[in-house]
Amino acid sequence: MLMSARTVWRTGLALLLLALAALAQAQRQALEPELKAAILVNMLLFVDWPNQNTQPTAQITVCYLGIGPVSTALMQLDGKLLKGKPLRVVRVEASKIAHCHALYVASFEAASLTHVVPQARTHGVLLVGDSAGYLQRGVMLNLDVDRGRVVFDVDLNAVRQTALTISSKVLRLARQVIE
Amino acid sequence: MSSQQDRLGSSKRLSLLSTGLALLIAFFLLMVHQYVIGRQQMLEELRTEASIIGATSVAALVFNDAEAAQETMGALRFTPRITGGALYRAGGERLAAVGDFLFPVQLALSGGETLPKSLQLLDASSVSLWDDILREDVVIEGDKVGTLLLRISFLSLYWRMLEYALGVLGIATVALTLAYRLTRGLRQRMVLAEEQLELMAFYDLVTDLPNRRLFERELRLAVARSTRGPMGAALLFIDIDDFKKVNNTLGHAVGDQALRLIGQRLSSVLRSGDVVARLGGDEFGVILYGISDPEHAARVARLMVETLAEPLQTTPTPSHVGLSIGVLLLPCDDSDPTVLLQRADMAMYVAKTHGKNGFRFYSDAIDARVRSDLDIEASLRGALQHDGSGLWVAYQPQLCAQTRQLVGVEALVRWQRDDGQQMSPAEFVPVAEQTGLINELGDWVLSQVCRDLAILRTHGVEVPKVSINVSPHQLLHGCSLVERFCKTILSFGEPVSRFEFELIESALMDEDGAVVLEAFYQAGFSLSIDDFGTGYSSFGYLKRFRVSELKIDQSFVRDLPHDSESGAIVKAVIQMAHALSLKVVGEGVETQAQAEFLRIHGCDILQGYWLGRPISPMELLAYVKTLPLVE
Repeated sequence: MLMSARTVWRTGLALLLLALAALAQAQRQALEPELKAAILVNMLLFVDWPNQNTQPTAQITVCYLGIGPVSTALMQLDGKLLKGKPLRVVRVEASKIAHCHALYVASFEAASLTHVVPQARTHGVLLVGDSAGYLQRGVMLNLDVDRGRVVFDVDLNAVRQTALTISSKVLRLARQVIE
Repeated sequence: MSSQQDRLGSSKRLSLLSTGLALLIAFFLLMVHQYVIGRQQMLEELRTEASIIGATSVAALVFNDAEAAQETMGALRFTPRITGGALYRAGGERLAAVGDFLFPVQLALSGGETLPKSLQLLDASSVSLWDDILREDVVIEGDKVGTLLLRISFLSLYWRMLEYALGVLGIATVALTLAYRLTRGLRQRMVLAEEQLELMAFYDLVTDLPNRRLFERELRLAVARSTRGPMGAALLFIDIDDFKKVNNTLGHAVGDQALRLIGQRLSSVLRSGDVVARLGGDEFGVILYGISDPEHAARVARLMVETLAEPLQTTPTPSHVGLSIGVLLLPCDDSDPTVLLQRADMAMYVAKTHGKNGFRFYSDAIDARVRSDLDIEASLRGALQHDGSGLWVAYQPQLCAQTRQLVGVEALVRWQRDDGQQMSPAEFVPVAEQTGLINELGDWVLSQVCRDLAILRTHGVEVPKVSINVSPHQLLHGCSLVERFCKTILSFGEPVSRFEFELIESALMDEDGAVVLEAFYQAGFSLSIDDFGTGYSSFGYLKRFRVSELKIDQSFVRDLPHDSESGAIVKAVIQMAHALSLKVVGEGVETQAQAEFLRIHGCDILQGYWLGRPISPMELLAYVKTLPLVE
């Protein structure tokens, strides 16, 4: 069977969404990390990075600091096409996040926040977390589980300070938006 | 008339029908156009709306947020054209639905624009005219994240079209009404013009009477009615006597007045059912209904003649005319209006030639007579065209009463027709006079006389004088008559003094002829009065026109010598004539006693069978030899 890469990735996405849909239907199933990873990646559809940034333009880079359930789930999504560009999930050092479009900070990596936040501000990196209190500490998008559903909160101020834009379409779905 | 109106009516109806049809087709096409455009527009707008809804639902679809999806779909509630909608995720599962329509839970991922079978089954009951399903993919940055299905209703489209149609009809009605009102004046004028045209087609403009066309129609009716009904009808063909005179002397304006007045007078004699029409020129036609017997028709005809006895009050000068009427009783054996008019015309012709100002009934005899007259005319015309073939001149000797010497001859025209039969002048001369051939005939007679004189001369006989008859009709042409005669005589080298022209008394009465008679005298011709005593004898005229001879009519001579009255008349005429230095000729001398009486009482010349019958030139030669020699 000869299929173009695009078709393959499209089909892949379709299948993924199918899977996710099934998950959504079920909703009680504890595939939380996968859900969080999916939401993170989906969120990227609605974020715009300014042109002069340091991130590479031919790909979408999602970084993580340490191995964890969410980062493992993120790794699964490497290569997926997003807005026509491939998704790259890489592990990085806390000091070198300039080339990331988005960075996931796990709950046990709270210590790195102090390093990461200023960098993110400077280089326009979307900080994503899933721990309580992260939002107040500079994380722009925080995922949470509320009554069995994965929800997210957004710190719009922080986003603005980073010179990023998040589409209002997705802001509507946020549980909480801090301005 | 009614059939014409019917034709007009049906043509109007047809034109109305065709206009109506055209308008209907236009309206229909307009509606179709409106529908097509409207539907297209509606679908476009709905697609735009769908894409907007889709765009706002992207996040919900991506994040599988049914609540948010339901929220965005909620906006559809406010659109009357959309009766339902559903959002489907990329996998085909229904995420949210609104509206009355039952959307399937699972959407089969088939490519293309065709409806999935599940939906088609649902839609089997409804036609694509009323409802439809709009399908729109929800896309973000080129990635399809879901499908939006909208159930749309075309009802609003149809309502709009209905409003449009009513609007158009309303406007059309208003416009037509206005146009109708505004063109009222025009239409009225048109109706008037049509009436006028009809009038002109069937009515004579000068007299306001029906014209020939209408009259022929009425005649057809009359034939039908008289054939069917108990009472007969009569057709009168009326010709105005001497109308040409009125026209020529008083002008055409007066002539028209006269015609109008004549029409009025004729109408006054008729009853309400009768018809009078002007057939053209100076001819009128009348149809009388309720004619039970010929006398009835005769009464009316007489009445008509009498009403025109009074002069017509034309301005500036009154004019006077007479009527010649031909009467044909209906029904008769023919029904063709043309034939009927012809017959009445023939009868009128006879009336005219027999004294005018009267009427004649048509009969077969008239038919025969008129036909025979026409035949004579044709033959005579032919004969004259062929140098007078068949025509010849006979000469009756005129002898001196005393010496019985030949003093002259009277030239009398004779005609031997192709079939060998001799036709007497009494038959063909009147025809010649009526048809105007008399002039040609007269000219020919003169030429022939000259030729005969030449022949006689070659045989040694010199005729002293030739008398030629001149018809009053010849005088109508004026002095050109005299000029022609002079020319002819000169061309034969004959002296003017040899010729004498005989006229009847009534010829002197006509004022128009006076100048011609003067011309005769001036040219050197002598004039003789023929049939003296039978007409209007005016001695004043005898003097005025310098007549040189009188010819006592044979009716007086016939009764000589036994009838004392005739004798007295003859004696008196001779005496009077001599007193005026006129010569006297006794006509119709058939006995010696008559000859003797005339001679005794001083008659100068004798003419009659006793002395010699009209004979051919050759016979004349022989005759001359029998006479006593000239001293």
